[in-house]
Amino acid sequence: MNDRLGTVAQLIAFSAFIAAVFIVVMTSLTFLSNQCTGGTPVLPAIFPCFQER
Amino acid sequence: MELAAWETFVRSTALHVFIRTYEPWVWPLCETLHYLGLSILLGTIGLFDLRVLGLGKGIPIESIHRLIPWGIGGYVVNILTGIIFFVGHPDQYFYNNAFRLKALFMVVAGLNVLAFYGTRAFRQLKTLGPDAEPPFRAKIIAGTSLSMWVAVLICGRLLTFYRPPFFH
Repeated sequence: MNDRLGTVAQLIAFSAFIAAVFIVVMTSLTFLSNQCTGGTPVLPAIFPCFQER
Repeated sequence: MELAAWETFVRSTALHVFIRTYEPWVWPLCETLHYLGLSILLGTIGLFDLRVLGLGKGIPIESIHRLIPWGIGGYVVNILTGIIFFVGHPDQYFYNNAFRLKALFMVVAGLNVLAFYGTRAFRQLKTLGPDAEPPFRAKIIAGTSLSMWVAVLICGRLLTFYRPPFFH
């Protein structure tokens, strides 16, 4: 019984971990995307935004 | 807008011409290998990280560490197929924030590997018994490794959603 509870707790912790990494990635991507659409133009100096061809 | 000099160079290479000529076969083949490579990488290095973090107590860490060469093999496959993707469609990746983040996470993961093998962390783990608690330093390194590879996986999946507009 304790083993099963431990496994469930580990699965919940792992799911929370994946969710946390996903949120960090999406927040970073949103920040970077805003850099090329009128955000504070700091990063485009390092990573140029795409220009239409 | 004119192409940047680096992109003109990449597009002039024989590898680029080869990839674009045989793209209907080359791309799916490399995508398949890329997925296999990442699966092997996460299935071995990720498993090792989870063990160091406390999962599967009783399994000797040294035994799981014997799988790491498979993870390195998966990594090499992914670097090679990744180069083929980049050379095939350089603008799709260079102007892609998901790719930039992915590259950043890979650099951090690489530095983390150096921290693992370059410090006492690995030597301490090798001497641990199956039920012993890994040192805090090793857990931090394992947690960072797992985070970075999961982030690399997520960024890889999101590449298609952050391509330059003309790809959509």
